[in-house]
Amino acid sequence: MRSLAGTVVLITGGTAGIGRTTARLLARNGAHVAICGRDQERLDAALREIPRAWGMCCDVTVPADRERLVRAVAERFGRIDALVNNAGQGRVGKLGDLTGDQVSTLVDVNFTAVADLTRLVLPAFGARGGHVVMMSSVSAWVPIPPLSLYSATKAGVLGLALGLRREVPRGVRVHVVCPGPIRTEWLSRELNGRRPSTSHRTVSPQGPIRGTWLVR
Amino acid sequence: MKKCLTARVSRTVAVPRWWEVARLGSWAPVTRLLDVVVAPASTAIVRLARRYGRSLGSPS
Ligand SMILES: NC(=O)c1ccc[n+]([C@@H]2O[C@H](COP(=O)([O-])OP(=O)(O)OC[C@H]3O[C@@H](n4cnc5c(N)ncnc54)[C@H](OP(=O)(O)O)[C@@H]3O)[C@@H](O)[C@H]2O)c1
Repeated sequence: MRSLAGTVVLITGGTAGIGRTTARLLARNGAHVAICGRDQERLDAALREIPRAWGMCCDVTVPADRERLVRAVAERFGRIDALVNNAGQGRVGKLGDLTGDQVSTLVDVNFTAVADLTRLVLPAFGARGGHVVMMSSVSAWVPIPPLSLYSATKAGVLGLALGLRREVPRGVRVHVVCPGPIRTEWLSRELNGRRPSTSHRTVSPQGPIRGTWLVR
Repeated sequence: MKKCLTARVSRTVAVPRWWEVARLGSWAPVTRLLDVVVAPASTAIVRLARRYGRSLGSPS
């Protein structure tokens, strides 16, 4: 197996949950990790925790932020070898119960941002090639009622990845990771309409717990 | 994730691996069965999901 040592990996939303755990794991394996998130406090905490990680505040739903992020990572490390499209949100509720804003925000973060960031990063791979990882979900395969719209965005991401594999240059690999339910903040954040308490901000994967994996 | 970033070919993976079974959900007979079974229970499923979410939000 080839090594991750020295590779430059940009992980969107690497400040919590799956992204933060992934960032820590990749850094431990010698990768240079760049992370982003909207919450500065949480970003700082993640950067303190993950050795050699670099990060910046960025809202991936804002086109100018996306361009700024990709430019900053390329300038900082001189190249980008991999993009992990991890930042995402859940929406629990039947489509008819959501507001128009909730619909567009969810599509923006879970799909539009993923497509556009991938578009921006592909040229940065150059002749070396690189890896794009799409964080989809098992709900892309089995959409269920309270997550219909969420599942549709994740199915969109899956479809995008399959299509991209057939159009990117040789040397670029496009992967899809479909997690089952993992006990992170997004569901509770969505249901409570607020950020969880600070006790939920530390990252320590433990699991499985009652059929779910706990990633805090 | 590490396996993806060191792979020579593009991969599609479920995590944990046993969730690969969910791929069956895109198979037409299973889709039809789910349509029949899930639709009448959708409101109850939403309620269950909310309860699960509240349990995540409460300190354990
Ligand atoms: N947990 C599950 O059960 C599960 C299952 C299947 C798939 N997934 C997918 O896995 C990915 C990670 O989920 P998670 O459970 O780890 O979620 P999480 O714990 O809520 O973490 C989400 C991360 O994304 C960042 N983020 C959210 N919106 C953003 C935005 N607009 N701009 C920049 N960063 C943003 C968050 O930071 P800020 O809030 O500070 O911006 C945070 O770092 C998501 O794509 C999710 O859909 C999760």
